[in-house]
Formats: sequence, C-alpha cells, structure tokens
Amino acid sequence: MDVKLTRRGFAVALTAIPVSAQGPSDSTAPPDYDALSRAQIKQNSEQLAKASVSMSVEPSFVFKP
Amino acid sequence: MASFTEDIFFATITELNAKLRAREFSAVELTHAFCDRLERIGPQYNALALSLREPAVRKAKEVDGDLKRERFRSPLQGIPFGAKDLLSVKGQITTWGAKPYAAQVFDYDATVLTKLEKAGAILAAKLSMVELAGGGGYRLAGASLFGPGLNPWDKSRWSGGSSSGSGSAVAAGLAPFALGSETSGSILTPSAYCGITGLRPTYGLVSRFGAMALSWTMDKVGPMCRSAEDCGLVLQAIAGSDANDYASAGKSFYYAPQFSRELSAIKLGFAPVDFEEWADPVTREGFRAAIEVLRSMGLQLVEVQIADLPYGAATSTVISAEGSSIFEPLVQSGQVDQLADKKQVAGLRAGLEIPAKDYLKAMRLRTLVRQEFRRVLTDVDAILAPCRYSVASKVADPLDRNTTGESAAPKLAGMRALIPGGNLAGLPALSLPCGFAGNLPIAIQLVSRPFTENLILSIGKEFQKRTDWHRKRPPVPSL
Repeated sequence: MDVKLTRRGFAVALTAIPVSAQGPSDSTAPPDYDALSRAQIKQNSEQLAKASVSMSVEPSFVFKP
Repeated sequence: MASFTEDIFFATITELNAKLRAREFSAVELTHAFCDRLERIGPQYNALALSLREPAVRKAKEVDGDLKRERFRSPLQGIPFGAKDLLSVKGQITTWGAKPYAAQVFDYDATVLTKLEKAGAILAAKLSMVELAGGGGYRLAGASLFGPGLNPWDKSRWSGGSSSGSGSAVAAGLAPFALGSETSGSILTPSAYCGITGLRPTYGLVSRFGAMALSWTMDKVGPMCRSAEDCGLVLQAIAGSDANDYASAGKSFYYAPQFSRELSAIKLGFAPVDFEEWADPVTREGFRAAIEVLRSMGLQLVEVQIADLPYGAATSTVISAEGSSIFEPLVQSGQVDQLADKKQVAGLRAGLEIPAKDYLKAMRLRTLVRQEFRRVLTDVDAILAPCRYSVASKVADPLDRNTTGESAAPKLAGMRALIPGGNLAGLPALSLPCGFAGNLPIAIQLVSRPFTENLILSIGKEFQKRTDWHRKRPPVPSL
C-alpha cells in the first residue's frame, strides 16, 4: 500500500486531534500515532460523507472490475 | 564454468533465453551467477529476504536437461527470478516482511510460483518488502524486518514500497525479473523509483492464492522487469483462472503486441497540470521529453479530467478496514507491537474501529469510481500521468513529508489520484522509466480499461524502442 498524507493532509489530521490528545508541546516527544490514526479515520469518514452516492449504486460483494 | 559480463546481468528475458538455447551458458551456471549477486550485493540494498540457491540449482539442472533435449517450454525457461516475500514457498520461511512472522512456514506454493515453475523459470530468492505490505499505513522507509529498502541509484534514497526488494533487485541486476504485489501503488512506486518497468495487472487476472492478503478487494500480483516486453512475457505465464482465488476473473492473457492497433489510432488522455505544475520542478524536463517521444510515435494526446471524488479516503478506508480485519488476531495478541513502524501498529489498531457505514460507503463509491474511469476511457484508450510526481525520497525522511517544494497547490487536481483511483477500479497500469532528475529515475504511468494489458504493453514496447532509459544501469558494486 502506498497511501500517504500530503503536507496539507497531515496538517488537517493534526488539527482534527483534540488538544489533550496531542500531548505536551515538546518537539522531541514521539507523535501520538494512535491519535493520528483515529484522526485520519475521522477525516476519511468526513470526506466520504460529503460524497453523494445514489441509491442505485450498491457495492459488489465480490468486486469485479 | 562460463564467465559472465555485466551485460548478462542486465539482459532482458528474451536475450537471456536466446543465449541459454544457444548453449552459451547453462541454466545452472546462470542460476549460480545470479545467486552470487543476490547473496553478496542484495544485502547492501536490504533487498534479500532469503536465498533459495539449493532448490534453484536443482530446478536449473532439470531445465538444462530439457534444453539439451530441445524441449523448449517458454521464453522464461531457465531464467532466474525473485519473489516478494509475501508469496508462500512450500517448506521455506515466508516472513511478510514482519517480525511476528519471521519464522512462518507454509506447506504449499503460491499459484503464481507454480505457474512460473511450469514455464521453466527458476525461483532464486525471496525479496524483502515493507512489513505486511504497509497495510496499517507506514511513516518510515525502515518499516520492514529487513531494514529500509535502499535504492541502487543512490543508497541514501528509498527504493519505494511495498515491493522494495523486488525493485532494488531488478534495478541492480540481481535478478532478471521479480514478482511484486500492489494494493495501492506497491508495484508502480518501487518500479518508478528504481528505474525499472512494472505492470499492475487488472484485478482478478492473476491468482493471489498463496499471497499474503491485505485487502481482498484490491490486492494484485504482478511483474517487475527490465522492459515492457518482459512484463508481457511474465504476465502471460502467471495470468489465468484459479479456483483457489475466489476473485479470479477466469481469463488468460496472451502477450501479443503484434496484434495491437496502429499507434496513430490510439488516444492517450492526460492532464497538462500534472506535468507542468504538480510534478516536482526537477522532473519536468524529463516528463516533457517523454511526452514528445509519445507524440513522435503517432499517439494522439488529448486533454482529459477525472471527477473530483474522495479517491484517497475511499482507498484508505477499504484497505484499513479489510487489512485490520485480516490482522485482527495479530492486533489482539499484542504481537502487533513487534512491528518496526509505530504508525503502522496504530493504524492496524485503529482500523478495527472503522464504522461499517464508512466501509460500505467507500465500497459504494468504488462503483462510482469505476463508472468515472469507464467514462474517461470511452473517450481515450489510456490515461497518461507521471508515475510519481517526485524522485525517490531520502531514506531518513518521513514518508508524509512533502518533497515537491510547491508553496501553493495548483488549482486543477489533474491525475494526482490515478494510483488510488486506478486501484479502486481494478485497472491495469504500466510504469515506464522516462528519464532522470539528477541521478534518480523518473517514470510515466499508463492506465487502461480492464484486461487491456496488451494495449499499454504495446505502447510501452514502442516507447522503449525509441528510448534507452530502461537500459540504464545504476552504479552497482562488482563482486
């Protein structure tokens, strides 16, 4: 898999995390990856929610191109 | 014992097979020569997962017997190759690039390896990869049991992922070809970064039986080679129906560039903003030259746009949800903490919390994505875009670091989402080396309709007749 956050995406992900989840503002502290991952899922969810899908479009359980 | 020049290690499959048939050297000699390089040079790029010299030489002896009796089986007969370490080989360790699976052994072979053995190809080594093919979303090039994949063109740069060892090994002349896998970019990225030719087949064309599952609706296995022609020859051998893979399309593939349409009748869709604004400035001259070559071939270049859909969010949601479901036992056991990349650990944990509504929405969106690509690929035969928009990143740099240096994003999106979009829609793609930015390779990608691999391969073959980027060799140390 090669899904990467762009700088803009990363910035959005960071701002989506509650301040309490970001930890102390110590630049040497390791990032809170659990919070970042949840923030990414939330960001994905929001983007998916904005997309309009008509009722007639249903997922193939067995995907075929 | 035959002595081998550097030319042999960078020869194409067709060239090597001709020499084997002419008895310039034996398959055993060729296998030993490539195993020597894999074992001695491979570790310098963190490319080698496991040498399979002993079984490879046994197989090579059989091939030599066949060649002596003029039993010619296929163009791959007697050609050594490497396989990404997510493909199972009976009785041998298959690590999936991850510490928790460092001692894992299967009692069966992956279907693609069985097919290549029948064609007479010789599996010489397992090649390194990003742990679990990066399913949790990794942040560092070092996300692998084997260390970061190092690029033969510049060892301070990443070889790309997740088929890192496959990219390095082919680029460095350690194997004439390799197998990789792609869920979203894992064949195209290392191919582009390492300056080799990689083919992502249509979803369902190649069996995944015996391959680590990351995302059952998106995983593909494909060839990484020296040329488009070699990709066609390998794809012919590995494609085909397999009852062991429920997603098998039941189709075969015959490499037949001779039957492709006149190039002047083929339309390539592209977005100029990709090459003129999104691409890193150091790569633009190379991309411009590549476009000129494509025009000189008689291809019609037509501007196209794809609809603004959340390609990245849908890809990430599907892979995360399916990957975390597959690796739930790993997460629940706590062994997930043994992974090298902490972002990946967190990603696999968090993926278990993706709401069903998001996964289903992403899957429904895939239908729209498919429809959108069908619309675009009605007007044109294939889509052209930079394979990657910048050169290989530095090994020490986090992968979420923006390397293009652009201060303001262009207004038009172009085909930036072609890798996630093409993977969501299950479309075939070909990465073609098209020049250098400094000492690092750059590449274009061609994407076409499902099961039209011959179209993009024939364009690739003609492109490589007119250029020699795929023939360039990195500064590999000699034995």
